[in-house]
Amino acid sequence: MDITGDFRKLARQETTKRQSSLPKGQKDLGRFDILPPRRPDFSHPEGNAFLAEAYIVAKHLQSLRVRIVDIRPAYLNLQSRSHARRLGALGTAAGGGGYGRQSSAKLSDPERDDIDRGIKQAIRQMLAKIQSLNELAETTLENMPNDAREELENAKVLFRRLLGALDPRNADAKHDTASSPASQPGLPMEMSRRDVLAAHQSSVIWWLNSLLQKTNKIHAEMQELYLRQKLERQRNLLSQQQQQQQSVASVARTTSVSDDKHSARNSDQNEILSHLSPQELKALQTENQNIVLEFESALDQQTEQLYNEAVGALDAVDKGNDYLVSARKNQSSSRKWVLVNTIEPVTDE
Amino acid sequence: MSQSLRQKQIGALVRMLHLNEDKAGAAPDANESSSSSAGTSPIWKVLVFDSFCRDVVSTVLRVNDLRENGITVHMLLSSARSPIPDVPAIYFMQPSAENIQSVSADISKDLYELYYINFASQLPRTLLEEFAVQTTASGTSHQVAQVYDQYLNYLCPEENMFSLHFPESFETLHNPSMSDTAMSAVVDRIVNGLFSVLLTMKVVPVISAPRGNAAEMVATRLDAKLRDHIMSSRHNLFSEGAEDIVAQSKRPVLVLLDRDIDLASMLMHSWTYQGLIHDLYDIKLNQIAITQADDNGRKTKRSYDLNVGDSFWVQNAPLPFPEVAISIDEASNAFKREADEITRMGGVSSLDEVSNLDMNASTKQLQRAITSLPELTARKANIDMHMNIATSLLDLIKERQLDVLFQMEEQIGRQSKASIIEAINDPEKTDVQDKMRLYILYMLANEGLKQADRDECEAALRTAGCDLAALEYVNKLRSLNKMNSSIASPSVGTGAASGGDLLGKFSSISNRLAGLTDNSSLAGILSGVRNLLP
Repeated sequence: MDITGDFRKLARQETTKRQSSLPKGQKDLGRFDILPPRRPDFSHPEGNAFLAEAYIVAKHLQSLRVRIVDIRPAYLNLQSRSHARRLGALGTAAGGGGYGRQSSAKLSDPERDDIDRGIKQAIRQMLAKIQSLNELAETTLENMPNDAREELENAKVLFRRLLGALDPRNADAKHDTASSPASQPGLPMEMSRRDVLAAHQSSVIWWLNSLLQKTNKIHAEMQELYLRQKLERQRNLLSQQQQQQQSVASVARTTSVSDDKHSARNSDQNEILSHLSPQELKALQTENQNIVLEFESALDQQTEQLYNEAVGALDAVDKGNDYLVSARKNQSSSRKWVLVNTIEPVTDE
Repeated sequence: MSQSLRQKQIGALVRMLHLNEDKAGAAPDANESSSSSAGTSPIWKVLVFDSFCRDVVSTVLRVNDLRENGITVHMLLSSARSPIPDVPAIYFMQPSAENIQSVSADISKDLYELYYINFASQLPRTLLEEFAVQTTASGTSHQVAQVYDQYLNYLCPEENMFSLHFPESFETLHNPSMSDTAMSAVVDRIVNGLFSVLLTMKVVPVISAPRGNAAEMVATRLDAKLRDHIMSSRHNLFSEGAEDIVAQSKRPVLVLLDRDIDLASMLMHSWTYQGLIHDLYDIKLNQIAITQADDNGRKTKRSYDLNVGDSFWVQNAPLPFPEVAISIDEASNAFKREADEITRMGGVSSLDEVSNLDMNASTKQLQRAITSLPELTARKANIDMHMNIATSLLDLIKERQLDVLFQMEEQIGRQSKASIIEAINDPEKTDVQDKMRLYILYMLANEGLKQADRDECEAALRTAGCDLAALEYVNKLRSLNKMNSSIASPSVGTGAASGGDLLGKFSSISNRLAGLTDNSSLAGILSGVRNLLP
């Protein structure tokens, strides 16, 4: 039950009473109680870079999520264009307006790819922003003025914690409502200013990460659903054509056996190729031809390389043989010369 | 579909966490709060509560639930807190002078940007005036954005079970040295709690209570409070947002009973899973702490959560312990089978199988394995927890021979004095309080016990080392009740509590409720029961 009104009335009465008891000089102080309660715009905090940035990121995340949710009907719409157009016409006729058209609009695959790419990029940007927000948070904490009073406060908190840990009374303390912080909310003991600010910042970042994860999950599920539906649709088409082929084949079976086999062999190829459009078939054929040409040229090059290497090897071997022969000759002439030189001084003596 | 009390409490708390803004179609379930906040920008706030309100909140909301609703930090009112700039603060506390003082001090210290004050129950006018005076004195009353009475001063551990979180209420109410003012305060506290529950459920019940004890006092005051509220000229909170008029016309019955109408069920050793855990480990705020000795003989203390989110707990809490053991076994085997299947599907055992792999099927299986991994991990942790709990329960049961005691107590009316004395003297039953409980149950079930038998049993208890204070109290209580019932209905003295079986107990309860001299008179029933008529 809202008792704010009662509170304000009482505050006003009290202020009036105080004002009337004050001497004349002090009566012109601002009477805050008569002003409407100020509700600041929390999403635009002044002088708090971290929070301001966090609110901006949150706004962008919200709008991204809304965008994904809005595009979902069109994304998942697998109906044919004509059917979609009819629905769209009905929608506009009934006054459904643009929304009806949007919900029944069919997107082509490239459009879907564009959308996916855009969303993924946005998600990556958001992630980067959250990272930078994290760094900003750390910087803010480091730049916190750590004056002597703060140091004393931190020291006091640490001291109290140490005492609490060493207190033998706490060792057998019953499991009362003030203990076991494991999963209960309510921060245990006292926390320094830094700790509190760090906890506050990490919770904000947790919230943003959580929303980003949920948004990403919605998008991933959307993609998965679309692909599954498309696959299901193709399988249905394939099975329909198989049935057609079988009926054709059963008609052909009555004419001849060889025709059967031929048609059976061809039917395998046909069922694969049949659901492709002629342009796609042509594209496939040209691609096949290109691949074949590439392979052939690669093979030619490799053969030539091997041939050149073989020829080079032969030349090298020939040269080597010549060197060996000349080396033998040199060896024999040097032997004779040495013999002559050693025998001659001996005979001279 | 009507919501349970717990869901309604969660809805009210979440609404409070969103600064009491009226959201059209606001999701009552805390799990959907993120979707409700998706459309609007969040406002990050801090939550400050006293220890009672912390228990209220922690029973139904976890830290992540608070975070999802935009609460970044939550702190106790009594702790020394540092300022957090540029964020509003939501205060949730009981209406007391000390709390008002703390809040005023916070506001004058300019800890937060703006203050949203919420009281767990109705704030008395005097305290509201005091609050206004204090904030005006420091010139900060303009910083108080909202003051609300939330009427949420009760705990809701299960979907349709609530507790007024009033520790040792039995002792307080039966304390002979209680002054009238203290007793009045206790009764008021109970009435406030019940009023909050009724307001959350948006029902005005028909109140039934026996005469002559605290229940009658509570019933009278609750009746007066409800009448005052409904008849008063200001907005009737029971009709705000209430369900349709048809539902309103079906008024439930609120039955208020004193605990001593049936002491026996409090003393009996339980055999259900939940009963055993509460008896041996004392479930507090859906949490228990178990000391287990691991293989090295070292004792580790572990705390576990047992709440409505655990499907195994919800299914097995009321079952007898042996069935629970079977369920745990089955769950464990099923889990192992599933885990093996998934790990087997994920890979190949030899290279020969590579060529035979159906890529489509294997990717699907791999995907299924990956998506089911977190769920399997959670299930494993859950099964491990219950396995640990059941193992330690079994150890205690064996140590204290609780199964034997349970079997004896089930047939307490047919037990012979000799078997009781044998049980008391049995050294294998290690806990003396168990023996005391057994004897008190025997005594309550057999009113015609001779003094000599009673003396013999008491001697045996003393030898076993029991403290006989509880026994003396029960004796006194019984004599008082006998006196009261003999004054109220002189012809009904025999026939009450003839045997120890349940049927006998119910007939004695119904006699007391009706305060009848004979069982069949309708007028007698009406005269004995207080009703709240519109």
